[in-house]
Amino acid sequence: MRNLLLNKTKKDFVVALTIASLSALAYKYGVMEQRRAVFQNFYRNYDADKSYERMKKRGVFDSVNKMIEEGHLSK
Amino acid sequence: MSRRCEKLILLDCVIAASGKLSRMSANLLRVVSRIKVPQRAINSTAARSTNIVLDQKLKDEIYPKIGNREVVGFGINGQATYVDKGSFPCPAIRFKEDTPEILKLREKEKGDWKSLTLDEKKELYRASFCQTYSEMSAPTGEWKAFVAAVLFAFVGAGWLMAFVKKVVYPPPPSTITRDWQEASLQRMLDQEQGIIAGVSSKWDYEKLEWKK
Repeated sequence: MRNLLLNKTKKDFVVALTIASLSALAYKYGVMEQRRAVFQNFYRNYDADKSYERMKKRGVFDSVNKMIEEGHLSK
Repeated sequence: MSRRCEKLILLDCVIAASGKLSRMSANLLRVVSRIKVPQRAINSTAARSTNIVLDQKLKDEIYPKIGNREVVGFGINGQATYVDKGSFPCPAIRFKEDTPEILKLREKEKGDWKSLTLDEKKELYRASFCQTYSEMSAPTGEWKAFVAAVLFAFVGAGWLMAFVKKVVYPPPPSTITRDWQEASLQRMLDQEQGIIAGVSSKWDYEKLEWKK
């Protein structure tokens, strides 16, 4: 067959282009937009101060524990 | 059965001085190179091609080893051996020694094959060949031995691993114990690690349990 490699390459190029664009679209919507939605949902009702108090009560802040010990901060 | 057939003939030739054999093969090549090799399958051409003529020196080398057998072709490597090989159908010599009955049948074979009975055809085949193709390629069940060996190897490895764990290894680090791991997880929840999409996001801080 004449130009066998050329014709095959043309077809393969079209197929490759399609597959690449489909996977890009799938990634954009399946991964990126999902992640964006999760983050937006989280921050909509996020209270940073409440989170701080919760963590302080559990005692994970070494500097805060030290300050409380020395009396600069109330418990 | 195939191993026996090969040993009967091959071993004799192999044990002989190999230098002689290589000379013999070169000579056979010279003599036989223009002879048409007979086919095992039934072909429609007339009776088989002329016999191979060997000079006296070759005859003196070969015939003590193969006895009364007829040399019919070049064979696999030019030596006058018989080998059953699926990939190469035509050994250099006939399998069985020539007897008067077989020679009579060979004369009959030169005529119309329809005149041969089935038993005569089978006898002719078995005189020239040790095994049929289906006998040659029949399953041997060897794979079972391999599977058994592999499984034994697994078992041996298992015993070795048990021994090493019991006798050789030092005690594991304390961080591997269940208590440590649970405390580690609790610390992650306290620090709100992965609060958006990670571990802490699965924990309900109001009810203090995992989210459903």
